[in-house]
Amino acid sequence: MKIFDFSIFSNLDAIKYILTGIFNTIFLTFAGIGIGFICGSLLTFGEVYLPSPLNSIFRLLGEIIRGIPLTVLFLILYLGVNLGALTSAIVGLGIRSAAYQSQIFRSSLEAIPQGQLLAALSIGLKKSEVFLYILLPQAIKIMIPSWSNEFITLLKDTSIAFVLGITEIMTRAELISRAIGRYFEIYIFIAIIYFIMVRGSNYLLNLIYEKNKIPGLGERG
Amino acid sequence: MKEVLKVVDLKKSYGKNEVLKGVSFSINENEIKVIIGPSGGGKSTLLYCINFLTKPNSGKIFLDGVELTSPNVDLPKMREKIGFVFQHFNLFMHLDAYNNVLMGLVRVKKMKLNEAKEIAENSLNLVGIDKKLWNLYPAQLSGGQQQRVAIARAIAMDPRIILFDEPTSALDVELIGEVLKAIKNLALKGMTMLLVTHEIEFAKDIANEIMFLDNGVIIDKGTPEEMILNPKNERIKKFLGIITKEKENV
Ligand SMILES: Nc1ncnc2c1ncn2[C@@H]1O[C@H](COP(=O)(O)OP(=O)(O)O)[C@@H](O)[C@H]1O
Ligand SMILES: [Mg+2]
Repeated sequence: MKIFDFSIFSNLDAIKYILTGIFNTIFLTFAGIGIGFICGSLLTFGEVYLPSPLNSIFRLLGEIIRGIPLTVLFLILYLGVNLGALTSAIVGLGIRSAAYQSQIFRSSLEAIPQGQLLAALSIGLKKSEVFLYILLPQAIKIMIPSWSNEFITLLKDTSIAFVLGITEIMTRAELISRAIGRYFEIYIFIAIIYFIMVRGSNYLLNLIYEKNKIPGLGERG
Repeated sequence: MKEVLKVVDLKKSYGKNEVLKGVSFSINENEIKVIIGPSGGGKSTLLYCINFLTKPNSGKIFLDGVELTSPNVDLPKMREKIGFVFQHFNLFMHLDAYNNVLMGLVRVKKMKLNEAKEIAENSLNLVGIDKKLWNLYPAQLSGGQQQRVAIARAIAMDPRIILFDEPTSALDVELIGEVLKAIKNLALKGMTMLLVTHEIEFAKDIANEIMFLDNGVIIDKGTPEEMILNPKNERIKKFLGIITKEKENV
């Protein structure tokens, strides 16, 4: 038996079947990142702006979610809460990403020097306006690199939806591998596909980062 | 003469640390008062209390006769009338010099853009910020330039008074002059100012009155001549001695 048997790639139907899974992967990624964005913002708001006993509940919630392995989270939702497979995948990816995104949002907000807020208040801006015109635009710029990391982590972690039988790339690759009896080639193949998707995302996110960089910041030591 | 700012028996503590122990003074229109005093004496706290960036524990503050310390005062509206220039400039890092000055005009005063731009440009010109610098971001400006933009940001709002908290003490020596010159320009235009500074020569030149704040109390006040040239109080003498020595050592 050869280590590499490229002849299996002449089975175009099988390859097409795997590649079609990209759509599901992309769908899961965006659904997860979107839900994570909305719920993560709420978590951050709770942690940062709610009064003392309440904010620690939000913080604890984030910590708990970050402490649960994604597989376990999926199975809790699927077998425990009895959600459908796709719903479990979307909700699971969403709430886990929310826990990580909220951390990113919070540290980006906290990275903005306090003095600017005082200056903003001193010219007569209201608190909500300080948030809108001073904090938010800067926090967004600051968070882009770590948010990009979260996006890519999530993209790769959609493959864990495999345990739920969602037919994204990973699951499809597994099915095909088993059908034709070759694992190595197929997994290398999808590894390359993931790599291309990651590189592509990285490239785009980096463009966004470069476009939004604050001139002069971080350039002098 | 019209009284712009009046502070009555202002007190402020941080926990058990009583930082202001009952400070009272007032400033009339076109007057310039300077506060000097040792580090940790409560100078910054006093300024921060005046526009409620820090909440005082007790005492009263009046701006043009309106009590800021009354519970139903519209704070943003009052702060709009009190310019503040910080020790560390505190420019908005994501905006260029021009938009730093424009922010308050557009977002607070809700001016039309044309009108706002004219005021912003006049303010930047007044502090000697060249047109070449208008579209540079704070991180691309020198400390002296940043502080002058910060002054422009304050004067653009057409405040009744400007508070300066050691505006030159974060600057390299060679940049201090340009900022003092900008402040001097405001003085010549009749701007009412309350200035915390260690630039004793400048204070002597510009102040109508100098107050010495030590340990949360104004222990003495008087004309520059009385306070600087012939200080009677031992603590002031000692303080001035230290300041002069520091200057010589630079
Ligand atoms: N936010 C704060 N929390 C606790 N203590 C403070 C705070 N700000 C100032 N202080 C204390 O108040 C005192 C006066 O400080 P400050 O007003 O900055 O003095 P100065 O400007 O004259 O150097 C110091 O003892 C300082 O430690
Ligand atoms: Mg100070």
